[in-house]
Parts: sequence; structure tokens; C-alpha cells
Amino acid sequence: MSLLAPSEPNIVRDPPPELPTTVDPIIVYSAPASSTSLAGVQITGFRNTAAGTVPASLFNAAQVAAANYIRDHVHVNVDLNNPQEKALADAMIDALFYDIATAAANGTSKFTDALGNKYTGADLVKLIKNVDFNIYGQASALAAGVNAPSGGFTKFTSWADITSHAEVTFDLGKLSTTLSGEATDHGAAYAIAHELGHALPAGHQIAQQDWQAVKAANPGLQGQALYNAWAVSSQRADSEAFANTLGHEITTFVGGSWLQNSNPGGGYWHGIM
Amino acid sequence: MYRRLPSLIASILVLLCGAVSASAGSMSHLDIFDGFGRGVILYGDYTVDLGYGLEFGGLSLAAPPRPPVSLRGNAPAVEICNTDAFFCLRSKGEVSFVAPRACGAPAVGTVWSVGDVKTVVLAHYVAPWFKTWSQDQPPPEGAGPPDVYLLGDPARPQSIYFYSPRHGVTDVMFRDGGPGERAVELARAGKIDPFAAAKPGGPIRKSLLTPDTVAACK
Repeated sequence: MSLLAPSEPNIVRDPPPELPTTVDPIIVYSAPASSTSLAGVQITGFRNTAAGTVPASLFNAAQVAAANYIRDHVHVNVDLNNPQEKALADAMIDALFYDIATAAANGTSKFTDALGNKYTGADLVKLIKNVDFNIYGQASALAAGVNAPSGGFTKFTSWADITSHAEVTFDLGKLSTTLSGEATDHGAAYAIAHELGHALPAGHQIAQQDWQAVKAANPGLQGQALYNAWAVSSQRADSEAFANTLGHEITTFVGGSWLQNSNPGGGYWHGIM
Repeated sequence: MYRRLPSLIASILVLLCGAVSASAGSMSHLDIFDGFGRGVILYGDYTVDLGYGLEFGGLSLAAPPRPPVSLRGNAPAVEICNTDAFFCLRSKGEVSFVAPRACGAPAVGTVWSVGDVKTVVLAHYVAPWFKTWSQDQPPPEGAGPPDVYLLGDPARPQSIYFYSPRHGVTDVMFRDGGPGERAVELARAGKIDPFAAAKPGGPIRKSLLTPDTVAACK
């Protein structure tokens, strides 16, 4: 059965107040000129049409923390000769930088998720540091055997332990299709926020509960039949909805706007699952 | 009497709004074309409109846009030919197939026929994620169906269909590269992997964009 996700959001992200800018800045990072990948991305500054380039040497502590996170936890491999693919990877790095820099700059501010968990900005940074991101172009995803079914997914070192390390993987070729006409800065920011909603312990906990509920309601099912039961279950939808809810809460906390998109193809298309 | 008119109009408007709202709310679940949803099917820019009996667009990117096929004659270009056992679409254009109403796991070589419409199961593939799925946790987010079958008719060798029983026909693919290089022949030779990335210059694959399933088993 093909299901369209209900109208799903996209994000408009305001720059952190530290940046002297009136337009969205673009992160500049180093990559070997001869390379076809961006493995080991290092943030070297912001490029901004209004303010020129802001070098990393002028970053404040929060921005340095974000840049270091990207260097240590974000693994990028895209075709630099494919401008759309590179632009989507850039937008994802940009989104992560803002999430972390803003949370780190507001370390004592708090928000509460839908389960009642309270987070400070410092808590959020600590939790995100337990998540790695793989951002693969289509060719490198295929070479790595990733085959991310709809473009992005999260897996855990230990399914049983909600504090275990999480790894988010994007296949940009498929993600571009999934995001439909929203494979833009906003769509990239949405994809990052949504997967963080899965990857943080609260999202992991909800997924555990939903999966157990489906298995309990369908004792003995295996393989294809178990897949079918999960695919049409309200619990699967609940897990995805929670990822959106937590993603929304994180986005709001870091100063972004969460827009409802009336285009059913916008945001994630959870379609055929 | 006239004093009561505004409230009467308001009541009628409320009723109308309720009816429209109820109708809109159930739109995504309509299957008034018996296995073909609301009768308008988009595979990429290739359009099948069962209400008008039209099929238009081109599965070959090299071909210029074509006028609606039905404009070439009086008979519908495309029509439903369902039976009690099968969903069936008969087309003068590109998209023409038979698929069973009952769910199952067809063997490669299985043939389904309704009148002059014939479909052969050409190949079967299993999704890579399914081969390593431990089942102690959910399938990866957005995972599509584990089993994908390639369907086609050797008499119409340029078109094949990607089919999963519970999800129906999810994609169509077109290739007419001459003898031995047509879509049906490539599928039979194991040269079309539905889970592999598209290659530049390779067969043209167009995915279902409209939300209703097409010929999904029940």
C-alpha cells in the first residue's frame, strides 16, 4: 500500500545571532582539490555575500565546537563533479553546524520533548556528539552497499540500549528523489532534524516501543509478512511522527522555523513503505 | 421568514462544508477504478487517465511529446480489463499488463493472461536490506518491499514493469535498443537490477508518483 505522509514540514533556519549577516551564510570547508570526495570535512569559515568570508579564527567557542563536531563525526563522500549532490551535502553540513553552534551558545537554555524529557543546550550538544552522520553521494552509497531505502535512516550500535551510539546515513541520490522538489537548504535541514529525532535516545525509545507493539500484535510473523505488518502499522507512522515532533522541537530551540508544507511530496515521502 | 434566511444559508453552508470535508478526507482511500485507485496514474511524466481512456507522454526520453493516444482513433487508448482473478490494463500505448488479485510469490516464468493481454514474470530480486535484516528491530526507514518482480510481455519487448504484490506496479521501464537490447530481453538476461543506481544512457525508469497503488494484491 502506498501511503503519503501527511503534510510534512520544511525548515527555514535563521542564522545564529553571532554571525554578522542578513542572508543565509554558506559554510566554506577544505577539501583536496583533486579529490572526488569530502572525507574529513574541516570548516574553515563562512562565506557571506554581505560580510565577506568569516574565517574560522574568528569563531566563538560554540562555533568551534560545531566545526570540530563536523570534522570528527560527519563523513562525507560525494561526487564533486555533481553540483546538485554537492549542494545538498553542503546544506546538510550547514544545518548541522547551526544546530550545534546555536545549542552550544545557549548551553543553559531548556526545552522539553513530547515525552517530558528536559534538555539544555549543553545536553543537546552532548547527545548529538553520540551520533555520526554519513553523507554519501549516489555512487559512493552504492559502492558502500548502503542502499538507503528512501534516502536516510538511522541505526544503532545496540538496539536494546537507547543510550548507544547512533549512525545516520544519507544516500543523496535517493534523498533527492524522496524530498521531491524540496532537495534544497530547507529540505536538507528537515532531513537532518528528522533523523536526529530518530537518533536521540527519546526517538530510539519510541521506535523500540512501536516495534515491540507490532511484534506483540503479530506473534510468529517472520520475514516478508513481518515487514508487511510493520509497513502498514500505525506504530510505524507513530515512530516517524515522533521523529518529526522531536526534530521540530530541536529546530525551534535553535531558532529555526518549522513550516507546514501543503505539498504532499515535500518533506520526507515515506511513500511505499 | 427573511430574518431566518441568513441562518438557513449558514446551515446549508455548514452541511455543504461537512460533505466536502468528508469527501476530501476519504480521497486517498478511494479505489473506484477497482485496483487502479482514482483512475489517474502518473509514472513520472507518463500519464494514464482511465476516466478519459487516455494515455499520453513518452516513456522514451528521445521521443518528442506525443498527443493523447486516443486522439488517433475512436476507441479508448487504455482501458481496464479486470476479471475476477486478475487486474488488467489494456493499452495501445506503453503500459499494458496483468497481475493477480490474490497475493502470492510468483515463480519466474509464470504467465498471466486476460484476453490478448499477457504478462510474464521475467525476473525476481530481493532488496539488499532484507538480506541482512535481523528482525529484532524494524526495517530501515522507508524500506520498500523486499521482493521486486520484473514483469513484461515478449510481444511488447520495449516495456517492463516493477511489481511487488502488495504494492502493485511501482515503476515502468522503457528500452528499445534493438534485438537483444530491449527491456524484456535485458530483464530476462539479468541485466536490470531494480536496486542498482541508474546508469547514464541506460534504460529509462519512471516511478509511480500518484498516491494510489496500481494493481496491488489484496
